[in-house]
Amino acid sequence: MILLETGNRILYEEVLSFFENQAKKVDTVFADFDGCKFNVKTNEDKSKLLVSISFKATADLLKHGGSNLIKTIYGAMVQGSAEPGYDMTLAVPATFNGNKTELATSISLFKRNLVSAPFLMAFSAIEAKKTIDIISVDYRSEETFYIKTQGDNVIVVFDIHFKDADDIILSKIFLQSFVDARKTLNNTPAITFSQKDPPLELKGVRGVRTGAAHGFVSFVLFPAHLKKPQETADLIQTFRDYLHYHIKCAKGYMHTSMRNRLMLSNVLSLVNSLNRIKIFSHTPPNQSCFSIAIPPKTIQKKSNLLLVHINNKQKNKIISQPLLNSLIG
Amino acid sequence: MSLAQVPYLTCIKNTLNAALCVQNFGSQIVERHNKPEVEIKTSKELVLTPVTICRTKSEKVLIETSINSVRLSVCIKKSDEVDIILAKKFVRFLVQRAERFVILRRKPVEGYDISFLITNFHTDNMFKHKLIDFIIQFLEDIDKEISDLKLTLNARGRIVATEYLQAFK
Amino acid sequence: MNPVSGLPAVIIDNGTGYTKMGFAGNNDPNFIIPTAIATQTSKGKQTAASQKKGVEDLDFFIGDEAIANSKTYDLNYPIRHGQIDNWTFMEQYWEQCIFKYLRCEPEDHYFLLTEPPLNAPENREFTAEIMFETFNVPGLYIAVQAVLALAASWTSKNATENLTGTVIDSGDGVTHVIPVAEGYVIGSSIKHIPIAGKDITGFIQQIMREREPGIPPSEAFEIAKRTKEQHCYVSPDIVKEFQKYDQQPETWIKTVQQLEAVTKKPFSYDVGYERFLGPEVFFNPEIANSDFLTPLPKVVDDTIQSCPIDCRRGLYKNIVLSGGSTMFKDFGKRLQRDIKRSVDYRIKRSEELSGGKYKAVPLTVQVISHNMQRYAVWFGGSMLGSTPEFYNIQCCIWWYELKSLFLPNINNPQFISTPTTTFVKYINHQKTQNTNVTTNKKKDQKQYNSLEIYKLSYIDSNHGWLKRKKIKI
Repeated sequence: MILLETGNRILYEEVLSFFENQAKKVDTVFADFDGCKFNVKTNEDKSKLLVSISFKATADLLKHGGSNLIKTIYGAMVQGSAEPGYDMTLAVPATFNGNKTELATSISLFKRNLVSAPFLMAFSAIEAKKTIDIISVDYRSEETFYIKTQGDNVIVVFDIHFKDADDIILSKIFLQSFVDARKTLNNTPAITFSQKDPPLELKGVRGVRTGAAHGFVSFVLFPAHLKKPQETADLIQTFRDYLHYHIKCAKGYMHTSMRNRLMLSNVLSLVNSLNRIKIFSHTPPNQSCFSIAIPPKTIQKKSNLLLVHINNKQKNKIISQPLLNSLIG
Repeated sequence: MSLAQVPYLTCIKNTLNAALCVQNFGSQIVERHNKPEVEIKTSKELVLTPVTICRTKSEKVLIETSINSVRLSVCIKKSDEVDIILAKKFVRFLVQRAERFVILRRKPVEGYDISFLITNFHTDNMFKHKLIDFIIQFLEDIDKEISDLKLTLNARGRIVATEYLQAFK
Repeated sequence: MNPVSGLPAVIIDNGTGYTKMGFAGNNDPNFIIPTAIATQTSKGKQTAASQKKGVEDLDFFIGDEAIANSKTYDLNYPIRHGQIDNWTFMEQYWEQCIFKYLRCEPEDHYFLLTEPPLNAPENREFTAEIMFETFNVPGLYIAVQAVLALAASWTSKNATENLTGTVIDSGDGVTHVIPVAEGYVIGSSIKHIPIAGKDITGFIQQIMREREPGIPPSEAFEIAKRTKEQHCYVSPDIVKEFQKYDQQPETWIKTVQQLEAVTKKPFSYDVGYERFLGPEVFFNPEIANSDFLTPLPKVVDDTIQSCPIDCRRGLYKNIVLSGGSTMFKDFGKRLQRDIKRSVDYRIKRSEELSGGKYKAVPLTVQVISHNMQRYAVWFGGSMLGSTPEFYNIQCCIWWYELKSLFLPNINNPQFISTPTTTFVKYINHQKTQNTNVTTNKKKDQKQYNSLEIYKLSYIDSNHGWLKRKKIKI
């Protein structure tokens, strides 16, 4: 799996199993990316399945095209007021008799549809040759993404926050490769990234977070990308998770190669050779002990790369000639 | 082994060869105890002068010797921040599996990345030249492994980025 | 709920056959998939980093998808006999569990994983290494499966809410009898029985093969399995049961009509004595095989008798069932009766031997059945993961980093303990941090610096004990 999926499997299966087994009482809580929480439960007389979402960005998203989009997709299923503790609720009637798999797929894409809304809105604004104000969606506690139109292009800026110091460095490698890879490919969005400071596109936007742990990635989407609005929106909204997913996979991969390495070289050479020695070796305990002194000059003569620091505090040394010889070469 | 490393590693090898002259030595303080003197440093005359062998500013080896034990600490080459985290990860990975390495110390000496502690019991059980070979091999490998990891990481980044960007087409 | 993100904890129970995973607080696991992984043809094996330059390691499937793709990929089972056998596959397996199935960001969720009793501390440590370093989880708890099964039994109305009891865990491959006292597994007394789900299926298949020639051989196994799951029950007395069947075959013997899968030809078969003979294998193993002859109640009794004398009463009083093969109707009742019988006999004998001088205090034998038996371990984890205490007892990243330097053992197998001073301080410290929205790394560092903790100091290699020293970091 290289690209992440957009639908939520648990949601899909919950909807299907609701239709299969309507007598069962359901109340399940589960999560999705970006700190999103779902609750699926049957109402009291089991006539409806209530799918509720709790997502920090809901208000922002609904404001920017979300409410229209959700209404067109889910129509009458949108419940007027959300369940307590959640931001939005869909009510699936048990009496639904259309294509149930299609319905389940569409509901499993609930979050994806919600997040696509501002993107689709910006894309259609470009189509209609209009400009829109910068949209900022505060979707995680430390992170925001911004959408802006500029001429024929749509600019999307992600403010990505890393909790782990190592991840910042790994992310730099990945983001740099995004910038580099762009050079060899045609028809892809332009990408720039900056650490710490927000890019110029965000000039004048209030409340932009800065700091070493923040990375700003901006995509410039060209008109060619806007021809397939939904696909582009799907990809762009998973960018953050995609990056995090691959940082984790890369770390996992490093573990794997270190494990293999350990198997291959070090441990084999060590354990095999050392253990064998343990069996065959009859060397008596060393009776003699030597101290050594290394004349720095001799060694420096041999190679100018080498520097030997000797702490000369201890004066009493027995210099063993054969040892010294072996030391010098 | 890259050619540039040869003198460095030879020097470490020879120093170790000389340093690994250890004998059984009971504790002078606690009866019937036998502790690595290089670790506990109870008496001055049992501990010899430590030797530092440097190749570059960041690449160095510290060899501390005592009557019954030798401690070797390594500072791995680190040219940028990626190297630093890779070295950190690699060393941590090794230290987690310290028992397998018999002579690996669980915690590196301060200022170094990884340490080995060889006592007279180790030299009794194992051939000295094999032990030294192992350490030299280890030093060679660790640099190679880290640069390999870095290469794969970059290659991976490229693939991941390309896959993602291509999906836009 | 995770105090920071407000999201439920992730509970993953990796068993030899199936992995149960889901979010804390739910009654059922969200996914039950085979613990199988299909990877690209053994390329991954002999490679060091230098030989491979790509993302081959992302091309794999887990669970049912792995089995579906087993023709073009290599199918592997990363867990053998309850213990993780291949860490690379396991790491990849978790990767997809998290990102494809559960779809959650590991940074935002606390994790609860399970381990078999007597798991080596190294395994626990490798698990922690993967979870903390690869996935950056904020907290991890590795619970012993038997202890979770005990906790799951608290849903039963007969249960006493304590962590002393005997767990009978019977899955597909093997049955374990595990005594647990105060949340600690009594390792020396654990017993394993080589009779479990697949032996019963095999036995049923054998009986049906002899009697029902109409069953196509290709479907014999599936039919035996279905019979086991749908029709089997435990009888109080086989002789009487046989009589009952012979007198009124029409009420007891059921005829099942079925279509053959490939040819669509109809066929029918009777489900008869195997309904009670199947589960009888637990109580009279000699009817099915000749290798293992001790009945389950006897094994349970022996297990408890081998435990320290002061906890035996607690162990008899709380015998808890877990796993799919304990789901037969009246399984608990029969087990309780049989154990009670041998216990009562022993008490009677000893009273006789004392010449009637001593009277024993009556001993309760109680086997607890409950609705969550099938996924008892997972459910126990879900229960634990949804309590606020959970967030105090697990191993935090910071603790892991500190401890990994000194000790191979990451978290002790204790279940709910009073949190150590360090934990309390850490948690409090975290709480104060959370109220402060603008946390940055530097500030973190400062607060860490002022944090007073107990650190385990140098390990004395000759003696192995640890000195505890209070130091400031």
